[in-house]
Amino acid sequence: MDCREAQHYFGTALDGSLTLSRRTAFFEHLGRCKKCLKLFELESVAKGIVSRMVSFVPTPVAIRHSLLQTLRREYQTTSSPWVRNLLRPLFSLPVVLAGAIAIAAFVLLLPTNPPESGPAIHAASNDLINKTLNNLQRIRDGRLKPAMVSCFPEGVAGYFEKKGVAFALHIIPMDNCDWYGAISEDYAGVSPVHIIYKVGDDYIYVCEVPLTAADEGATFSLPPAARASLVRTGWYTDVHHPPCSVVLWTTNGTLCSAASTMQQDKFVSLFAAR
Amino acid sequence: MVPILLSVISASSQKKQGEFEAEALPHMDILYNFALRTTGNENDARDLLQETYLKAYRFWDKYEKGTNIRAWLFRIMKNSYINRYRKESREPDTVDYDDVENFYDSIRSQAADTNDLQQRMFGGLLGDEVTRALQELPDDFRTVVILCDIEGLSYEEIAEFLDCPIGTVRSRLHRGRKMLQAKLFDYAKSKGVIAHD
Repeated sequence: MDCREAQHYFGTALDGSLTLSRRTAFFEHLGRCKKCLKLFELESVAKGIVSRMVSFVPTPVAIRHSLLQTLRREYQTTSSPWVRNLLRPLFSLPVVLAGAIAIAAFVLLLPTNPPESGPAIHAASNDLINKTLNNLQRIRDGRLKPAMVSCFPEGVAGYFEKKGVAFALHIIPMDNCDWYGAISEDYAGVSPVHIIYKVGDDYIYVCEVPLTAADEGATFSLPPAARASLVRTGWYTDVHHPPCSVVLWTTNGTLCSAASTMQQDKFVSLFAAR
Repeated sequence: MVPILLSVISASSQKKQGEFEAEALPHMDILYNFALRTTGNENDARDLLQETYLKAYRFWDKYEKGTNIRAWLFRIMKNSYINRYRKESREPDTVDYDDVENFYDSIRSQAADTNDLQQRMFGGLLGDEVTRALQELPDDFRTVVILCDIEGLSYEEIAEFLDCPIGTVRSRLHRGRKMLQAKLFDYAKSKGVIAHD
Protein backbone atom coordinates (compact mmCIF):
# COMPACT_ATOMS: atom_id res chain seq x y z
CA MET A 1 0.00 0.00 0.00
CA ASP A 2 1.39 3.42 -0.90
CA CYS A 3 0.76 6.79 0.75
CA ARG A 4 -2.04 7.77 -1.62
CA GLU A 5 -3.92 4.55 -1.01
CA ALA A 6 -3.32 4.66 2.73
CA GLN A 7 -4.70 8.21 2.96
CA HIS A 8 -7.70 7.16 0.92
CA TYR A 9 -8.57 4.67 3.67
CA PHE A 10 -8.11 6.99 6.68
CA GLY A 11 -11.84 7.42 7.23
CA THR A 12 -12.66 3.74 6.81
CA ALA A 13 -9.84 2.81 9.19
CA LEU A 14 -11.15 5.28 11.77
CA ASP A 15 -14.58 3.68 11.53
CA GLY A 16 -12.95 0.29 12.08
CA SER A 17 -14.46 -1.08 8.90
CA LEU A 18 -11.36 -2.05 6.91
CA THR A 19 -11.22 -5.66 5.78
CA LEU A 20 -8.65 -7.79 7.57
CA SER A 21 -6.17 -7.92 4.70
CA ARG A 22 -6.49 -4.21 3.97
CA ARG A 23 -6.22 -3.40 7.64
CA THR A 24 -2.94 -5.32 7.87
CA ALA A 25 -1.53 -3.55 4.81
CA PHE A 26 -2.76 -0.18 6.11
CA PHE A 27 -1.10 -0.46 9.50
CA GLU A 28 2.06 -1.92 7.98
CA HIS A 29 2.27 1.21 5.86
CA LEU A 30 1.73 3.47 8.88
CA GLY A 31 4.54 1.59 10.62
CA ARG A 32 6.85 2.50 7.77
CA CYS A 33 5.64 6.01 6.90
CA LYS A 34 5.84 8.66 9.60
CA LYS A 35 4.08 11.25 7.45
CA CYS A 36 0.99 9.05 7.00
CA LEU A 37 1.05 8.05 10.66
CA LYS A 38 1.04 11.71 11.62
CA LEU A 39 -1.84 12.58 9.29
CA PHE A 40 -3.81 9.55 10.43
CA GLU A 41 -3.36 10.35 14.11
CA LEU A 42 -4.34 13.98 13.53
CA GLU A 43 -7.49 12.92 11.70
CA SER A 44 -8.24 10.54 14.53
CA VAL A 45 -7.89 13.42 17.00
CA ALA A 46 -10.28 15.57 14.94
CA LYS A 47 -12.90 12.83 14.76
CA GLY A 48 -12.51 12.05 18.45
CA ILE A 49 -12.92 15.60 19.65
CA VAL A 50 -16.12 16.15 17.66
CA SER A 51 -17.65 12.84 18.73
CA ARG A 52 -16.71 13.42 22.35
CA MET A 53 -17.52 17.10 22.79
CA VAL A 54 -20.45 17.73 20.46
CA SER A 55 -23.18 15.43 21.66
CA PHE A 56 -26.25 14.13 19.84
CA VAL A 57 -29.22 16.11 21.15
CA PRO A 58 -32.65 14.48 20.93
CA THR A 59 -35.57 16.74 20.02
CA PRO A 60 -36.83 18.51 23.16
CA VAL A 61 -40.39 17.55 24.11
CA ALA A 62 -41.62 21.15 23.71
CA ILE A 63 -40.33 21.33 20.12
CA ARG A 64 -41.80 17.93 19.30
CA HIS A 65 -45.13 19.06 20.69
CA SER A 66 -45.02 22.34 18.80
CA LEU A 67 -44.18 20.54 15.55
CA LEU A 68 -47.14 18.19 15.92
CA GLN A 69 -49.48 21.12 16.56
CA THR A 70 -48.15 22.85 13.45
CA LEU A 71 -48.77 19.71 11.43
CA ARG A 72 -52.30 19.37 12.79
CA ARG A 73 -53.03 22.95 11.71
CA GLU A 74 -51.58 22.17 8.31
CA TYR A 75 -53.83 19.11 8.01
CA GLN A 76 -56.87 21.30 8.66
CA THR A 77 -55.91 24.07 6.29
CA THR A 78 -55.03 21.73 3.44
CA SER A 79 -58.32 19.83 3.70
CA SER A 80 -60.65 22.79 4.32
CA PRO A 81 -60.58 24.37 0.80
CA TRP A 82 -62.15 21.18 -0.55
CA VAL A 83 -64.80 21.27 2.10
CA ARG A 84 -65.55 24.94 1.57
CA ASN A 85 -65.81 24.51 -2.19
CA LEU A 86 -68.04 21.49 -1.85
CA LEU A 87 -70.46 23.34 0.38
CA ARG A 88 -70.83 26.36 -1.90
CA PRO A 89 -74.25 26.23 -3.63
CA LEU A 90 -72.77 26.98 -7.05
CA PHE A 91 -70.32 24.14 -6.79
CA SER A 92 -72.24 21.65 -4.78
CA LEU A 93 -74.63 20.33 -7.46
CA PRO A 94 -72.05 19.46 -10.16
CA VAL A 95 -69.62 18.26 -7.55
CA VAL A 96 -72.24 16.07 -5.92
CA LEU A 97 -73.30 14.61 -9.27
CA ALA A 98 -69.75 13.99 -10.40
CA GLY A 99 -68.90 12.58 -7.00
CA ALA A 100 -71.89 10.26 -7.02
CA ILE A 101 -70.97 8.90 -10.43
CA ALA A 102 -67.35 8.51 -9.44
CA ILE A 103 -68.21 6.75 -6.19
CA ALA A 104 -70.71 4.47 -7.89
CA ALA A 105 -68.10 3.51 -10.50
CA PHE A 106 -65.44 3.12 -7.82
CA VAL A 107 -67.64 0.93 -5.62
CA LEU A 108 -68.67 -1.26 -8.55
CA LEU A 109 -65.10 -1.75 -9.71
CA LEU A 110 -63.53 -2.11 -6.28
CA PRO A 111 -62.57 -5.66 -5.28
CA THR A 112 -63.86 -6.54 -1.84
CA ASN A 113 -60.93 -6.60 0.56
CA PRO A 114 -61.12 -6.91 4.30
CA PRO A 115 -60.70 -3.54 6.04
CA GLU A 116 -57.13 -2.75 7.02
CA SER A 117 -57.94 -0.71 10.05
CA GLY A 118 -60.74 0.18 12.40
CA PRO A 119 -62.28 -1.21 15.54
CA ALA A 120 -63.32 -4.52 13.91
CA ILE A 121 -59.72 -5.62 13.49
CA HIS A 122 -59.28 -5.82 17.24
CA ALA A 123 -61.59 -8.82 17.57
CA ALA A 124 -58.87 -11.28 18.70
CA SER A 125 -59.12 -12.09 22.40
CA ASN A 126 -55.38 -11.59 22.87
CA ASP A 127 -55.23 -8.35 20.90
CA LEU A 128 -52.52 -6.21 22.48
CA ILE A 129 -54.23 -2.90 21.69
CA ASN A 130 -57.47 -4.04 23.32
CA LYS A 131 -55.57 -5.25 26.35
CA THR A 132 -53.76 -1.92 26.59
CA LEU A 133 -57.02 0.02 26.43
CA ASN A 134 -58.69 -2.29 28.96
CA ASN A 135 -55.82 -1.94 31.38
CA LEU A 136 -55.86 1.83 31.02
CA GLN A 137 -59.56 1.80 31.89
CA ARG A 138 -58.91 -0.44 34.91
CA ILE A 139 -56.20 1.92 36.09
CA ARG A 140 -58.51 4.91 35.75
CA ASP A 141 -61.27 3.08 37.65
CA GLY A 142 -58.87 2.12 40.40
CA ARG A 143 -59.33 -1.60 39.69
CA LEU A 144 -55.70 -1.99 38.66
CA LYS A 145 -53.20 -0.47 41.06
CA PRO A 146 -49.42 -0.24 40.72
CA ALA A 147 -47.43 -2.65 42.88
CA MET A 148 -44.88 0.08 43.47
CA VAL A 149 -44.72 3.80 42.85
CA SER A 150 -41.66 5.98 42.49
CA CYS A 151 -40.95 9.62 41.71
CA PHE A 152 -38.09 8.51 39.47
CA PRO A 153 -37.92 6.22 36.44
CA GLU A 154 -34.90 4.52 38.02
CA GLY A 155 -37.14 3.32 40.85
CA VAL A 156 -39.39 1.51 38.40
CA ALA A 157 -36.39 0.13 36.52
CA GLY A 158 -34.97 -1.21 39.78
CA TYR A 159 -38.28 -2.88 40.64
CA PHE A 160 -38.38 -4.74 37.33
CA GLU A 161 -34.72 -5.65 37.63
CA LYS A 162 -35.44 -7.33 40.97
CA LYS A 163 -38.35 -9.13 39.34
CA GLY A 164 -35.87 -10.59 36.85
CA VAL A 165 -37.41 -9.15 33.69
CA ALA A 166 -35.48 -10.76 30.86
CA PHE A 167 -35.90 -8.22 28.05
CA ALA A 168 -34.81 -4.62 27.46
CA LEU A 169 -37.14 -2.15 29.17
CA HIS A 170 -37.99 1.23 27.77
CA ILE A 171 -38.82 3.63 30.60
CA ILE A 172 -39.15 7.20 29.47
CA PRO A 173 -38.08 9.95 31.89
CA MET A 174 -40.63 12.80 31.74
CA ASP A 175 -40.00 16.21 33.25
CA ASN A 176 -43.61 16.72 34.31
CA CYS A 177 -44.37 13.20 35.55
CA ASP A 178 -45.85 13.20 39.08
CA TRP A 179 -45.02 9.55 39.64
CA TYR A 180 -44.13 6.33 37.88
CA GLY A 181 -45.94 3.09 38.72
CA ALA A 182 -44.96 -0.53 38.04
CA ILE A 183 -46.84 -3.79 37.80
CA SER A 184 -45.43 -7.15 36.76
CA GLU A 185 -47.40 -10.29 36.03
CA ASP A 186 -47.18 -13.67 34.36
CA TYR A 187 -49.30 -14.07 31.27
CA ALA A 188 -49.20 -17.26 29.23
CA GLY A 189 -45.53 -17.84 29.92
CA VAL A 190 -44.57 -14.25 29.12
CA SER A 191 -43.95 -11.59 31.77
CA PRO A 192 -45.37 -8.38 30.37
CA VAL A 193 -44.21 -5.23 32.09
CA HIS A 194 -46.79 -2.57 32.93
CA ILE A 195 -45.66 1.00 33.50
CA ILE A 196 -47.93 3.85 34.55
CA TYR A 197 -46.99 7.49 34.17
CA LYS A 198 -49.14 9.98 36.10
CA VAL A 199 -48.87 13.33 34.34
CA GLY A 200 -51.15 16.01 35.82
CA ASP A 201 -54.71 14.72 35.51
CA ASP A 202 -53.74 12.11 32.93
CA TYR A 203 -52.52 8.58 33.07
CA ILE A 204 -50.26 7.08 30.45
CA TYR A 205 -50.19 3.32 30.51
CA VAL A 206 -47.47 1.36 28.68
CA CYS A 207 -47.40 -2.41 28.28
CA GLU A 208 -44.00 -3.79 27.25
CA VAL A 209 -43.47 -7.34 25.99
CA PRO A 210 -40.65 -9.13 24.16
CA LEU A 211 -41.10 -8.65 20.44
CA THR A 212 -41.16 -12.42 19.99
CA ALA A 213 -44.36 -12.58 22.08
CA ALA A 214 -46.16 -10.78 19.26
CA ASP A 215 -44.87 -12.96 16.43
CA GLU A 216 -47.46 -14.72 14.32
CA GLY A 217 -49.40 -17.16 16.48
CA ALA A 218 -47.56 -16.16 19.63
CA THR A 219 -48.94 -14.81 22.92
CA PHE A 220 -50.28 -11.46 21.69
CA SER A 221 -51.92 -10.56 18.43
CA LEU A 222 -51.80 -7.30 16.53
CA PRO A 223 -54.04 -5.91 13.80
CA PRO A 224 -52.50 -6.42 10.33
CA ALA A 225 -52.10 -2.67 9.78
CA ALA A 226 -50.22 -2.31 13.07
CA ARG A 227 -47.98 -5.27 12.31
CA ALA A 228 -47.17 -3.93 8.83
CA SER A 229 -46.42 -0.45 10.11
CA LEU A 230 -44.21 -1.75 12.94
CA VAL A 231 -42.23 -3.90 10.54
CA ARG A 232 -41.80 -1.02 8.12
CA THR A 233 -41.19 1.88 10.50
CA GLY A 234 -41.05 0.54 14.05
CA TRP A 235 -43.99 2.79 14.86
CA TYR A 236 -47.80 2.77 14.78
CA THR A 237 -50.55 5.11 15.99
CA ASP A 238 -54.15 4.04 16.42
CA VAL A 239 -56.70 6.83 16.65
CA HIS A 240 -59.84 4.69 16.45
CA HIS A 241 -60.60 4.72 20.16
CA PRO A 242 -61.51 8.26 21.21
CA PRO A 243 -61.06 9.69 23.77
CA CYS A 244 -58.03 7.40 24.08
CA SER A 245 -55.02 7.32 21.79
CA VAL A 246 -52.77 4.33 21.28
CA VAL A 247 -49.14 4.35 20.18
CA LEU A 248 -47.04 1.25 19.49
CA TRP A 249 -43.33 1.13 18.86
CA THR A 250 -40.49 -1.35 18.90
CA THR A 251 -37.06 -0.87 20.39
CA ASN A 252 -34.20 -3.25 21.18
CA GLY A 253 -36.34 -6.35 20.73
CA THR A 254 -39.16 -4.97 22.88
CA LEU A 255 -42.67 -4.10 21.75
CA CYS A 256 -44.25 -1.20 23.67
CA SER A 257 -47.95 -0.44 23.56
CA ALA A 258 -49.04 2.84 25.16
CA ALA A 259 -52.49 4.34 25.73
CA SER A 260 -53.65 7.55 27.33
CA THR A 261 -56.55 9.93 27.65
CA MET A 262 -54.09 12.77 27.33
CA GLN A 263 -54.78 15.17 24.47
CA GLN A 264 -53.70 13.29 21.37
CA ASP A 265 -51.08 15.77 20.13
CA LYS A 266 -49.44 15.96 23.49
CA PHE A 267 -49.48 12.22 23.99
CA VAL A 268 -48.11 11.36 20.56
CA SER A 269 -45.41 13.99 20.90
CA LEU A 270 -44.03 12.15 23.94
CA PHE A 271 -43.35 9.11 21.82
CA ALA A 272 -43.09 10.48 18.30
CA ALA A 273 -39.33 10.22 17.95
CA ARG A 274 -38.78 7.14 20.11
CA MET B 1 -74.45 12.62 -0.75
CA VAL B 2 -72.38 15.55 0.52
CA PRO B 3 -71.68 13.80 3.82
CA ILE B 4 -70.54 10.71 1.87
CA LEU B 5 -68.19 12.79 -0.25
CA LEU B 6 -66.91 14.57 2.77
CA SER B 7 -66.26 11.32 4.57
CA VAL B 8 -64.40 9.95 1.52
CA ILE B 9 -62.22 13.05 1.39
CA SER B 10 -61.73 12.95 5.13
CA ALA B 11 -60.74 9.26 5.07
CA SER B 12 -58.28 9.92 2.27
CA SER B 13 -56.73 12.85 4.18
CA GLN B 14 -56.52 10.78 7.35
CA LYS B 15 -54.80 7.96 5.47
CA LYS B 16 -52.25 10.40 4.08
CA GLN B 17 -51.72 11.96 7.51
CA GLY B 18 -51.34 8.56 9.15
CA GLU B 19 -48.86 7.36 6.54
CA PHE B 20 -46.91 10.57 6.73
CA GLU B 21 -46.63 10.49 10.51
CA ALA B 22 -45.71 6.81 10.63
CA GLU B 23 -42.98 7.22 8.01
CA ALA B 24 -41.59 10.68 8.69
CA LEU B 25 -41.86 11.36 12.42
CA PRO B 26 -39.46 8.63 13.61
CA HIS B 27 -36.63 10.58 11.93
CA MET B 28 -37.26 13.74 13.89
CA ASP B 29 -34.26 13.39 16.20
CA ILE B 30 -31.68 13.05 13.47
CA LEU B 31 -33.16 16.03 11.60
CA TYR B 32 -33.42 18.18 14.70
CA ASN B 33 -29.88 17.39 15.67
CA PHE B 34 -28.63 18.31 12.21
CA ALA B 35 -30.67 21.54 12.28
CA LEU B 36 -29.30 22.42 15.71
CA ARG B 37 -25.69 21.83 14.72
CA THR B 38 -26.15 23.68 11.44
CA THR B 39 -28.00 26.77 12.66
CA GLY B 40 -26.31 26.89 16.05
CA ASN B 41 -29.39 27.70 18.12
CA GLU B 42 -32.57 26.02 19.28
CA ASN B 43 -35.03 28.57 17.87
CA ASP B 44 -33.68 28.41 14.35
CA ALA B 45 -33.41 24.63 14.61
CA ARG B 46 -37.08 24.44 15.61
CA ASP B 47 -38.13 26.69 12.70
CA LEU B 48 -36.06 24.69 10.25
CA LEU B 49 -37.47 21.41 11.55
CA GLN B 50 -41.04 22.68 11.23
CA GLU B 51 -40.45 24.02 7.74
CA THR B 52 -38.96 20.70 6.71
CA TYR B 53 -41.90 18.66 7.98
CA LEU B 54 -44.47 21.07 6.53
CA LYS B 55 -42.84 20.89 3.10
CA ALA B 56 -42.51 17.13 3.39
CA TYR B 57 -46.23 16.82 4.13
CA ARG B 58 -47.19 19.17 1.29
CA PHE B 59 -45.05 17.18 -1.14
CA TRP B 60 -45.82 13.78 0.34
CA ASP B 61 -47.33 12.68 -2.95
CA LYS B 62 -43.92 13.21 -4.57
CA TYR B 63 -42.16 10.90 -2.15
CA GLU B 64 -41.47 7.56 -3.78
CA LYS B 65 -42.56 4.91 -1.28
CA GLY B 66 -39.89 2.43 -0.35
CA THR B 67 -36.98 4.78 -1.04
CA ASN B 68 -34.81 6.23 1.72
CA ILE B 69 -37.16 8.62 3.50
CA ARG B 70 -34.42 9.88 5.79
CA ALA B 71 -32.41 11.02 2.77
CA TRP B 72 -35.53 12.62 1.26
CA LEU B 73 -36.31 14.55 4.44
CA PHE B 74 -32.69 15.54 4.81
CA ARG B 75 -32.57 17.00 1.30
CA ILE B 76 -35.70 19.04 2.03
CA MET B 77 -34.05 20.35 5.19
CA LYS B 78 -30.80 21.19 3.40
CA ASN B 79 -32.63 23.13 0.67
CA SER B 80 -34.78 24.92 3.23
CA TYR B 81 -31.67 25.88 5.14
CA ILE B 82 -30.01 27.31 2.04
CA ASN B 83 -33.15 29.25 1.08
CA ARG B 84 -33.80 30.49 4.57
CA TYR B 85 -30.31 31.61 5.40
CA ARG B 86 -29.25 32.45 1.86
CA LYS B 87 -26.07 30.51 2.39
CA GLU B 88 -24.69 28.92 -0.68
CA SER B 89 -21.84 26.51 -0.43
CA ARG B 90 -18.73 28.57 -0.52
CA GLU B 91 -15.16 27.76 -1.17
CA PRO B 92 -13.31 26.46 1.83
CA ASP B 93 -11.21 28.87 3.83
CA THR B 94 -7.51 28.55 3.35
CA VAL B 95 -6.20 26.94 6.47
CA ASP B 96 -2.71 26.87 7.75
CA TYR B 97 -2.33 23.26 8.74
CA ASP B 98 1.44 23.51 9.16
CA ASP B 99 1.04 24.91 12.68
CA VAL B 100 -1.03 21.90 13.68
CA GLU B 101 1.51 19.48 12.24
CA ASN B 102 4.42 21.30 13.85
CA PHE B 103 2.71 21.23 17.22
CA TYR B 104 2.02 17.53 16.75
CA ASP B 105 5.73 16.95 16.02
CA SER B 106 6.70 18.75 19.21
CA ILE B 107 4.45 16.77 21.55
CA ARG B 108 3.98 13.38 19.88
CA SER B 109 6.82 11.68 21.73
CA GLN B 110 5.27 12.65 25.09
CA ALA B 111 1.79 11.36 24.24
CA ALA B 112 0.95 7.73 25.05
CA ASP B 113 -1.79 7.33 22.40
CA THR B 114 -4.25 9.34 20.31
CA ASN B 115 -6.54 9.94 23.30
CA ASP B 116 -3.63 11.42 25.19
CA LEU B 117 -2.68 13.36 22.08
CA GLN B 118 -6.19 14.76 21.84
CA GLN B 119 -6.03 15.77 25.48
CA ARG B 120 -2.67 17.49 25.04
CA MET B 121 -3.77 19.35 21.91
CA PHE B 122 -7.35 20.34 22.67
CA GLY B 123 -8.09 19.10 26.19
CA GLY B 124 -8.48 22.67 27.47
CA LEU B 125 -11.28 23.54 25.03
CA LEU B 126 -14.95 23.51 25.94
CA GLY B 127 -17.77 21.86 24.02
CA ASP B 128 -19.11 25.30 23.02
CA GLU B 129 -15.81 26.16 21.39
CA VAL B 130 -15.78 22.94 19.41
CA THR B 131 -19.37 23.60 18.39
CA ARG B 132 -18.47 27.13 17.29
CA ALA B 133 -15.50 25.90 15.27
CA LEU B 134 -17.78 23.36 13.61
CA GLN B 135 -20.30 26.04 12.70
CA GLU B 136 -17.60 28.15 11.12
CA LEU B 137 -16.79 25.45 8.58
CA PRO B 138 -18.14 25.96 5.05
CA ASP B 139 -21.54 24.25 4.60
CA ASP B 140 -20.44 21.30 2.51
CA PHE B 141 -17.68 20.35 4.90
CA ARG B 142 -19.65 20.96 8.08
CA THR B 143 -22.48 18.81 6.77
CA VAL B 144 -20.37 15.70 6.27
CA VAL B 145 -18.60 16.12 9.61
CA ILE B 146 -21.96 16.41 11.42
CA LEU B 147 -23.46 13.45 9.59
CA CYS B 148 -20.43 11.23 10.11
CA ASP B 149 -18.96 12.19 13.48
CA ILE B 150 -22.09 13.24 15.39
CA GLU B 151 -24.98 11.43 13.71
CA GLY B 152 -22.87 8.34 12.99
CA LEU B 153 -24.09 7.75 9.42
CA SER B 154 -22.15 5.55 7.03
CA TYR B 155 -20.37 7.01 3.99
CA GLU B 156 -22.91 5.29 1.77
CA GLU B 157 -25.84 6.95 3.50
CA ILE B 158 -24.16 10.35 3.55
CA ALA B 159 -23.53 10.00 -0.19
CA GLU B 160 -27.23 9.21 -0.67
CA PHE B 161 -28.24 12.16 1.50
CA LEU B 162 -26.05 14.55 -0.47
CA ASP B 163 -26.61 12.88 -3.81
CA CYS B 164 -22.88 12.73 -4.51
CA PRO B 165 -20.23 10.01 -4.93
CA ILE B 166 -18.71 8.34 -1.86
CA GLY B 167 -15.31 9.66 -2.91
CA THR B 168 -16.63 13.20 -2.52
CA VAL B 169 -17.87 12.39 0.97
CA ARG B 170 -14.50 10.93 1.89
CA SER B 171 -12.61 13.92 0.56
CA ARG B 172 -14.91 16.51 2.18
CA LEU B 173 -14.67 14.71 5.48
CA HIS B 174 -10.89 14.65 5.35
CA ARG B 175 -10.65 18.33 4.45
CA GLY B 176 -13.41 19.29 6.89
CA ARG B 177 -11.58 17.64 9.76
CA LYS B 178 -8.35 19.40 8.82
CA MET B 179 -10.09 22.78 8.71
CA LEU B 180 -11.74 22.08 12.02
CA GLN B 181 -8.45 21.18 13.60
CA ALA B 182 -6.80 24.33 12.33
CA LYS B 183 -9.61 26.41 13.87
CA LEU B 184 -9.42 24.53 17.15
CA PHE B 185 -5.70 25.04 17.20
CA ASP B 186 -6.19 28.78 16.83
CA TYR B 187 -8.74 28.79 19.67
CA ALA B 188 -6.43 26.78 21.87
CA LYS B 189 -3.57 29.18 21.19
CA SER B 190 -5.70 32.28 21.81
CA LYS B 191 -6.94 30.78 25.09
CA GLY B 192 -3.42 29.99 26.14
CA VAL B 193 -4.28 26.30 26.37
CA ILE B 194 -1.25 25.58 24.23
CA ALA B 195 1.85 27.72 24.04
CA HIS B 196 2.28 30.40 21.34
CA ASP B 197 5.11 29.88 18.89
